[in-house]
Amino acid sequence: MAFSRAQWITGKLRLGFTFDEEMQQSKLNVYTQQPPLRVIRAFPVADGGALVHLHNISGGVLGGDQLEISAHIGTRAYAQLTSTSATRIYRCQPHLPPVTQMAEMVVEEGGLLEYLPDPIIPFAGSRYIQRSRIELASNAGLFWWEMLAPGRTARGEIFAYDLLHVDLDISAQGKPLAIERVRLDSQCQFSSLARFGVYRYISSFYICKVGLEAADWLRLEKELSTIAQQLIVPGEICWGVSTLVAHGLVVRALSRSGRDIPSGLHAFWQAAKQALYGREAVLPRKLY
Amino acid sequence: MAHCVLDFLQFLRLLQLADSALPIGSTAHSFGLETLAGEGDLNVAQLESFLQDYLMEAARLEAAFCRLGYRLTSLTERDSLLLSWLELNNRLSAFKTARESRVASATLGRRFLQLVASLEDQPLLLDVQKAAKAHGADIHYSPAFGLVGGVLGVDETATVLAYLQQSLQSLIFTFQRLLPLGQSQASAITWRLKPTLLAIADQSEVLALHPEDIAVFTPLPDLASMRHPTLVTRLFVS
Repeated sequence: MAFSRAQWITGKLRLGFTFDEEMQQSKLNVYTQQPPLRVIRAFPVADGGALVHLHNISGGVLGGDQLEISAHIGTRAYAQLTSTSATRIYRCQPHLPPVTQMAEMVVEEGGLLEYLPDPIIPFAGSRYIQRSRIELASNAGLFWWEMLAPGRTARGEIFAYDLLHVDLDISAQGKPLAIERVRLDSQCQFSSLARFGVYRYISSFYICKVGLEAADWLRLEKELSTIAQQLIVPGEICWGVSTLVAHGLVVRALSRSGRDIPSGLHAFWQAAKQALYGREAVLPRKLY
Repeated sequence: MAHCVLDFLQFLRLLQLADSALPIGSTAHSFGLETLAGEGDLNVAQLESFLQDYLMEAARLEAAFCRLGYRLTSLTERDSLLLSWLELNNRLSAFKTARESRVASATLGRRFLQLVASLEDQPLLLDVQKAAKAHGADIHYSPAFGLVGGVLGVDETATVLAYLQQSLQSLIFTFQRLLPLGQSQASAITWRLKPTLLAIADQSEVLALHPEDIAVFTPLPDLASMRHPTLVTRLFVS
């Protein structure tokens, strides 16, 4: 059955953040917003930051949707981006292409981006492709986390999605720091010990600051590994920390139920932000 | 079944380069599997199916990079070759987010290239080492193996298969030290996994044409590698 482009939704958000030296405050500029993607306003946060909630007003992501988010964090600007709720990927009708969500982020010299979304929940029968690219300039900082659920577990949906592709590229001054290419589909052996094993939820948290020496990252890796060891509950949740090839490290978690991931991520964020910036990590204001 | 022609000298060289006894230190690395085995997550009964899945992910990534390393030798312009060499290794470093496994791969790659450069008078092997050192780039084992195969004029797929065979042998040897895996059973598993290696070699050929499609998903072994430095007792460096 042929489908027409009219059935596809193309949502776009193009945002810019600039730092107002006089006010010592980061400001949001909205260059493009096309439903179902929307932003309402920026809320000031501590240390001159701007918190922005990324809204999808359709309430979920449907087959055929093509969504693009780009943000440019200017020199010394500080932006905190979050979602309003979990990203629900609905079942995709067979004649529609997979949902595609693209994110392009640029953080200029001395800028800081904190990307702290709620989990992604791919429903049974969904097909989802996500591509995120982040480019960091000199002295730019990044806190970027993602959580992936196996499905609507309360309804018994465990890895019942048809297709899930997740690409992530983080680079600094043109050099790749981290590359993820995840290709999962209904034929996958999810419970293989080479993949999830007994676990079902996965989370990654990238912490970067361009220009820090390798020895400093090893020290931070050791500090966060101590936190990881304290948070591990064998068979329930497992955490690991590792430095990247340069300019950052990654924290990963595998969990059975997913409920302890958010508090763990906050603990790592708190420790890392204190170590890297001497500042407190404050969760984005929203209903919990 | 595909086949290739290897002259006897190439055959003997490939056997030596793919030997687990090659003095580059491969037996010192478990790539995080020591953590999995040590915590009781993996036992002998599960080993073959684990290896099948693990190879289809991790070894497929390495096989693709092995091919890409091999294909660099077809570039005639030296500066372009060296730039591509650095980009290839930088890209693989970015894929390897677990530090110990990344460092292990880079250590083996560097030692492998140094060893072959000492055996064969090939200026390219010296140039790629110098370029990597000058730019602070890693030299990963799989692209280094591929590059050497290309320099020695060995068939590309034979090179990839030799790399895969030595990877499998190394894994089996690792598990023989970690689990109650006997010699006969180890040989049988290695024997039965040959079709998996062939399938990976086939897939790597497609991936080398479309490097943007190279993917890997091994979260539990990766997490095990990330946690390896925290083990109280370790047999392996990684």
